[in-house]
Amino acid sequence: MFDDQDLGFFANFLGIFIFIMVIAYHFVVAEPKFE
Amino acid sequence: MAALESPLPGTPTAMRNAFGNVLSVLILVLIGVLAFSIRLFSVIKYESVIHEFDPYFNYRVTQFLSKNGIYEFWNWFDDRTWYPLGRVIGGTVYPGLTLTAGTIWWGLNSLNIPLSVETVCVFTAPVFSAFASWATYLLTKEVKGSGAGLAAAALLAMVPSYISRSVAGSYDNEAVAIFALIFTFYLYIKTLNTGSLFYATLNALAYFYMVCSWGGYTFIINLIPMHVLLCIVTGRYSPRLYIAYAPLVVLGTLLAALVPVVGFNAVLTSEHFASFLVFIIIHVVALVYYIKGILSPKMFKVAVTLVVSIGMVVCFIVVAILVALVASSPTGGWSGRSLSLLDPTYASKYIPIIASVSEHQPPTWPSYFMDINVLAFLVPAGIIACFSPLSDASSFVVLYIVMSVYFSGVMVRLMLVLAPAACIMSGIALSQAFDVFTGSIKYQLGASSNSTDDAEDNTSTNNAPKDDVSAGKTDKGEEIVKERSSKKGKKKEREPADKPSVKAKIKKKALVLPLEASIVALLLLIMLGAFYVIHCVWAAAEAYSAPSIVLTSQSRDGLHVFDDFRESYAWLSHNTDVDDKVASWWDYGYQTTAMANRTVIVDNNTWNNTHIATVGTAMSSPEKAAWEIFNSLDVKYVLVVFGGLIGYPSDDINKFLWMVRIGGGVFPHIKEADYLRDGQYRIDSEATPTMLNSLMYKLSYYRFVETDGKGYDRVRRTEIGKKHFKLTHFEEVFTSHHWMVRLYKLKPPRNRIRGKAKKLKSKTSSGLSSKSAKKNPWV
Repeated sequence: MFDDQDLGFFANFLGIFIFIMVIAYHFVVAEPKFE
Repeated sequence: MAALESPLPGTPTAMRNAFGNVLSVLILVLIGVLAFSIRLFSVIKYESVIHEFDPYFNYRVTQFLSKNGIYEFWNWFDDRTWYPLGRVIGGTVYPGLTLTAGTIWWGLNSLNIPLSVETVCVFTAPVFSAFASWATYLLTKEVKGSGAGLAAAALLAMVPSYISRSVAGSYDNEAVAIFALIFTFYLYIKTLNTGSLFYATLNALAYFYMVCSWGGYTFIINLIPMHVLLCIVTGRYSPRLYIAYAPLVVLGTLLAALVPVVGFNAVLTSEHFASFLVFIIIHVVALVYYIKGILSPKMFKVAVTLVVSIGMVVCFIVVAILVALVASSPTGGWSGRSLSLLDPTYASKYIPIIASVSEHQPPTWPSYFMDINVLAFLVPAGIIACFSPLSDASSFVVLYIVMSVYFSGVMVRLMLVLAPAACIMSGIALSQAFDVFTGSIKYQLGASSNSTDDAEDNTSTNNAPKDDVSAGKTDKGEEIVKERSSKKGKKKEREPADKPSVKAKIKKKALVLPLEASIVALLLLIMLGAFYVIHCVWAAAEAYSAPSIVLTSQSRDGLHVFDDFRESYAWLSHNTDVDDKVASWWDYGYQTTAMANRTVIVDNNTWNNTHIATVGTAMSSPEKAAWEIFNSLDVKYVLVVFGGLIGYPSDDINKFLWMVRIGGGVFPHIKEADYLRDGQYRIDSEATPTMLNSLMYKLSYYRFVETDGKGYDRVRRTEIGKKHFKLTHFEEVFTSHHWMVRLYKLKPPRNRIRGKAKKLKSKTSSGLSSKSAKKNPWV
């Protein structure tokens, strides 16, 4: 049975994973800036 | 999308953009899943149930809509509330939420997915939270590009302030209104960026949906005019601004007037006047620009003098009319809630019915940290980022955050309006930081050769640096340059690949940080994000998921469930006549009609202060006087909520002073001072006789001493003052398992003694009988 602790773990994991994915997105589209 | 604007398919730039787009779609899907799932704690920990107070009314209305159809809904006169006045539901309710959930329910049933109305209502808020996250992405993307949009959407999906109003079961107007708010802002910015009349029309429709959904639409119709005014004052007027604003005011106001609850208020109340004033100003400004375009500079000077003087006169007349209109209305044309926004002390001074609601109180500093957490620290960085470069769109979000910070400081409920602005600003700040660090890492990892290739690909489409463009222009063309540069700024956002030319790249030094520093900084930012996520999940799971209708507590013996409310409403439903009237404080009105299906005297709509004051007066009066008031209202049962036995603090004794204040506001013989001992509210042996004899005290503490022999109140942490007493005009009919809800029945008036015996009796003791007849009118 999926209880609130499982949901807590899932939400924490997904939240942090999304953050890392957002950083990955920035990495993919990033281009160094010049003066 | 960037990929579509890429000149050569198959080049590294095009591949990068394509990969970026796929990644952003994936992230958006995950954000939607997170926004939905983080709001399910209430269902998993408790059950799939409608929460609190107002949602029960919305649920009842949705049930009515799904059962009887939309025409019956518009014409619904509800005789189960505000007895004996009743309430025209169709004309006094914001129908957006109800119609949305009703449409979803109807759509699902048409597809042979037989969900109950309750299930649809419970899950409406989490679904719309996902929509709100996506709308935040669109809005922030228009302001600062896709990266900022993704970061902002991720932050909004789990911001505690929004979770508090949108967990599964929290079926309230805000659930859909926040989505409507953000989406309206997105369409406004989109229109501002594109100048498209199509988006302007959509914007008016989104505004209409917002008006249907929540009274907070006045925030939109004041913020957008303020932004337009800001643009005009700072010399950023453009035809795009006109397209973004004028159709919104005309179409939006016409549409808003169609919503019965708003009606002619859309043109008659002061909350809307700012938009009309700016509507006039923008036309004057447009006229000035038009004349400037067709006249020579000399003639223009003459024309300016003419137009400005005429404009001043017209403005003066309009302002004078507005002031006269405002001054002629008793509250200056402003509603109580709006006035308390401008003067935070207004409500507490003059309108106790507003001040008595905890969500109308100003928030404390810890509540900022609780509700927006690390965003509070990221917002200033976001504001700074918005100024480099400042565009029409970024100035809008700056104005949005400034206004929402002010309003949230006035009323804790408006933290909800602050949350999206804080997420957008923080998303921009984080995105800027991510840009710098990921760009540095990529460059340091030897991407320099790739970037040269990219640069070669870009040579055909690249623009010269901004300075070169502006250097060649004369003073006359200043405005054109401004417009071009701002357009170029937006183009840049859409095309991250379009950067300075090859020459510039070769000549100029790369702006990158050392690899190690970038990696460490990124790790720290991930930690910050993880801290935010953990806080949000904790807030969702522990702080904001309680449905209020079922309470739990964890002790050494295990989990205790307090289901007294439903137990009592079920008792009422099964043991009383369907037409019986139940009196309680207004907080429990919606629940009583929705769950017990019994007529109530007052409910959470609070539209009639006198009626509420009557109930407040009855609760504050001695038993006999209270009986007379309730009897005059045909009341048969009185419901009180009592937390003294189990330590439930939101009970009627703690709300009692508000009953006294509201009652005293209309019936001056009720005086707050009579219930206070030396300015202190007490229920112990030091309490005043007025307090100890009030109906609320008696109904709450009747037989309480039998529970522990002392009468120790666990909420007030003291022994009660008056322990042993009997009720003369009320009889206890039901007390719930944990004594949280107590129901009393009004004793019927005694039968009159008929016949000679009575007459004889009255003759023999004439003086006494006439006195007693006066005292006891029911004898």
